[in-house]
Amino acid sequence: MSGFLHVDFRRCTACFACETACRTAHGGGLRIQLAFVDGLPVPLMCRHCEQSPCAAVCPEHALVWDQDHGVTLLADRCTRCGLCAVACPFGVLFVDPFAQPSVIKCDLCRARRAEGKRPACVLTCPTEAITEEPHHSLRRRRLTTPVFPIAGKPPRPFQGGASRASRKRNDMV
Amino acid sequence: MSTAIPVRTVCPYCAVGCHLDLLVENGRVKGLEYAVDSPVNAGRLCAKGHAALEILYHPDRLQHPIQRSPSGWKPVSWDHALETAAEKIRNIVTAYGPNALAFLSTAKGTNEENYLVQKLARVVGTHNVDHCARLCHASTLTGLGPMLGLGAATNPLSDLSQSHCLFFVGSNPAENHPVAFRWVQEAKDRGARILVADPRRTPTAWIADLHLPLRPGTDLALLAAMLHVIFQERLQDDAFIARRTRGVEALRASVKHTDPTWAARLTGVPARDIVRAARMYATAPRASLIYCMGVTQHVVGTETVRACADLALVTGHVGSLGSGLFPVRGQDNVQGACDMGALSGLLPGYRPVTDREARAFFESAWGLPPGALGAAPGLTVTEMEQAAGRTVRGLIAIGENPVVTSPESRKTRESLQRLDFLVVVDLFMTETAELAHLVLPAAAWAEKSGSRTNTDRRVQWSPKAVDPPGEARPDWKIVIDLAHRLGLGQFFPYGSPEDVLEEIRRIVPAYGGISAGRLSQAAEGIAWPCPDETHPGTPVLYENHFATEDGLARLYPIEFREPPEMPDADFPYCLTTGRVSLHYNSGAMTRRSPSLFSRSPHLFVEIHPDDAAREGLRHRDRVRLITRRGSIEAQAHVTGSVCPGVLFAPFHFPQTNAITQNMLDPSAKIPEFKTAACRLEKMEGKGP
Amino acid sequence: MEGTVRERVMVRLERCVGCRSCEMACRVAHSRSGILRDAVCEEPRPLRRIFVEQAADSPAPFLCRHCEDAPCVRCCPTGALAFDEESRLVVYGVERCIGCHACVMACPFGVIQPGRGDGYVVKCDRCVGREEPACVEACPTKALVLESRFLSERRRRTAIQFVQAARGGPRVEDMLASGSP
Repeated sequence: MSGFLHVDFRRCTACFACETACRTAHGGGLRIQLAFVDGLPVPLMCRHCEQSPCAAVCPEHALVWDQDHGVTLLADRCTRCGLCAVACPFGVLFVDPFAQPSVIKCDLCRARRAEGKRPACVLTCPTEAITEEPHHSLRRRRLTTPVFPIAGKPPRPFQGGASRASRKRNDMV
Repeated sequence: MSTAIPVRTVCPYCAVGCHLDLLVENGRVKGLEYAVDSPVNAGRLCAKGHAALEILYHPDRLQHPIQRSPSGWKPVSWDHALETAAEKIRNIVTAYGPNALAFLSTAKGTNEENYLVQKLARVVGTHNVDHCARLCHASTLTGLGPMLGLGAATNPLSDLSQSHCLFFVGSNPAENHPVAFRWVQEAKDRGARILVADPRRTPTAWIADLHLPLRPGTDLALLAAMLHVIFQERLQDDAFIARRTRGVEALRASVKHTDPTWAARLTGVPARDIVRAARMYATAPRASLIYCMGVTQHVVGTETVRACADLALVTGHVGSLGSGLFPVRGQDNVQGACDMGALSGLLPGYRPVTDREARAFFESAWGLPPGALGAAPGLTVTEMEQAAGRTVRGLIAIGENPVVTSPESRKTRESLQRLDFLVVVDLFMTETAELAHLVLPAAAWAEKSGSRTNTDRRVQWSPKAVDPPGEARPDWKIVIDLAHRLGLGQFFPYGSPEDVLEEIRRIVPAYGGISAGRLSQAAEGIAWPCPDETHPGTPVLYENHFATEDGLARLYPIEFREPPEMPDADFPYCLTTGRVSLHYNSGAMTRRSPSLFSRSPHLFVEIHPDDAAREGLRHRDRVRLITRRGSIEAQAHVTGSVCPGVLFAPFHFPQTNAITQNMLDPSAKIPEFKTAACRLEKMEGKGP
Repeated sequence: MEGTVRERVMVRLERCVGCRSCEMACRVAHSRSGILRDAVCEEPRPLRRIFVEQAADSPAPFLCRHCEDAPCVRCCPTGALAFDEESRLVVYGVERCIGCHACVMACPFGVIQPGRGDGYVVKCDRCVGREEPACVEACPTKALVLESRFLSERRRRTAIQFVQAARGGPRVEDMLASGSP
């Protein structure tokens, strides 16, 4: 667990599994949301910034960052002033005065992780667009970039000598 | 949390058959947990799978049998309800004969329930039993059956990840089978080429290497042109054709003139893209062809399915790991319901009712007098609805909602209203149930045990986790009780679904080795054919020979026909229908799930920006869609993902099918859902 | 060196043998000590900015392309990543970074990684203070070269192809192999 969730939004197919999974895990409140631009989806959730603007502006120091849990809310300190929502550059945190705790944001499924389970959205994403392991995801992205054909060296992802077409032609001769 | 017991059930939505663990505490489902160790879905679930619990404890669930009375709906006891049903059925049979009855079975029921429904219909004396496969993959049965021997997917879905080329024709797994899409992504990660033929740029097409945006209803021309290219450039697998197929000359002759330029004119896809697609598919060492409703729901559905199979056969892409033909089913148990013979023309195990030997076999197996089973096929779903109130006087609809799902549904509603007696067994008060005389509350998936067969023929056991709410009962029990009241108790001596499965094993050879005990042990189920207890199941079909009489596949020549209703001056657009990721079929379940409905609450219609500009429409404007059959209101979604001249509307809302065409494929009897000439009118205001 | 256009590192994929010398050189160059012997013992371990991936049978080094219109720069909410007009490089300023990892997600090549200790993200800085980056220096097959050399070699190759096409003769690969590297 790296303390934040990595999203490879190019793999997202807008199936809404993460949103419903999040709601199932936390009850109400949108902690992850698909935002659409020109019909293309981007899953957005708290980025768990290490120098988080939300924590920086919080007058009561109710939001703190740590390596394992990301930006965490200390609910008993929170006065529901809403400044954190103003500060967040991504718009993925909001204050619901009627909820308890009142700051609605991704907590990396702290309760699930305490039981040894993975965050709900990570577990459920069918295309592995959301992962908790950025290095694995980055490696996969490097391996699937179109660099190979551009460099004049065609990708040969599958083993085996001559292509099927040439084999077939030889068969016919 | 610690006291909750996880019960592994099979998701009630699509045909991928994902596992989900229900946490049961004190007889109630407290929550769900992901089945991380399941080989089927490795814990993954889509939006609908998560929302399944919202259905289980939905306040609208029917809890008591209710009967229509002059003063409105009135709750009645099960005794009374079943007695009434039995009496009405007896009266109809006495007055009009058994063929005045019709049974709608359900692809959402278990194999056992479907078996019981069709057995009840046939013991009563009619073949009028059908289910919603008629509206989705009937053309697969009529198309693939004679060609390959079985109308089913040839490979497990996980094989998609082993393919080098995936060709999707009229199929959108990214939205409709999201969990299966992980295998597509896996293949893509390994460098596989993805081809998508679809009038819309669907989420599946987002990852495509080549998207062929064809006009709705012209799939056959595209496939014919691809075959033409393959023969022209000698990309066919001649060894495979010679060894395993028959009829190649007729096919070759039939595609002689279907060149890409001709197809480009019809389909609107550039000819060079057709050539590229044909080369990519034919030259891949292992390739899969995946097709869905975009192929089947046409009057040329059977022919198009055959063209798909022709393409797979001449390139040799059938019958090995990673090479297969995938008709991906929509519902969790369509495959099973077909296997169980809940079809008007087929007895269990796909034995045709016209076959004298098959009839004799079932007469003796069921203890019926010789000659009790009729030789003529019964009425299909659409025919039942047309005949309702005329030759059909009574309809027993189990888990079906034809008022929403049938084409030109206003007529369906009218004809159902003419029935003497309509019983609906369902979870909710559906649009069809509102027309019924008697509504019986059914149990949902987690409230009953049974086996279900998913799209890759894997039979999985889903155990009962909790009791149904109120007095609701599982379908199998309702059918057995009704049979007993009808005096047919001797034919239905079952106490549990396991007993029924035992009988299925004796009667359907493909299920011979699939016992309840074995199923509960098998982590990912057993793929039929599985003739005996020691057989491991058959995930890949046709590895050595096809299931035809001589073991050879038949190639069928292709004859192109245009869709019956082409856009013209009065109706300039082509309306096509389909699914969205948050809803499911008639929407009876998903439109009641708050988390799904809140994200997709309106009927919308997708329209290309050029067309929108011409009509003076903006995003989210209200529009009226008019076809020759009627008009509906919807919200306009202006998007570049549809081709110009094409409109797309999801069919999960009751309005959509009011305006679709009721033309049938002559052999499969599947309606032409996918094309309808249509016109737009702007309405005042935003919304709906 | 500041204030001048820095040449980009180019990759000649056909020459890469996947020896990973560049990765090691990069780690050492970005360690605190700068010496291999000490770098291996450092804690946290120095991170590499170049990645050699083994895609099936062809190895390929990946490093920051220093895009002129970089997705990472566009996604950065604070301007911590910026395209420096003078050096023509994408530069990272840790003092403005809030550690949101948006750039990690945005990079189409996957060459920006979450950091450990020094900075919240780690990416190629084209070895500030060196004329030739460590990876280029270390590459034994000269698969990694600076832009000017890369282009002149490509031009030479093209010229050979034309000449050969005009008069026939040995294959390009053979001529290149016999000539200068």
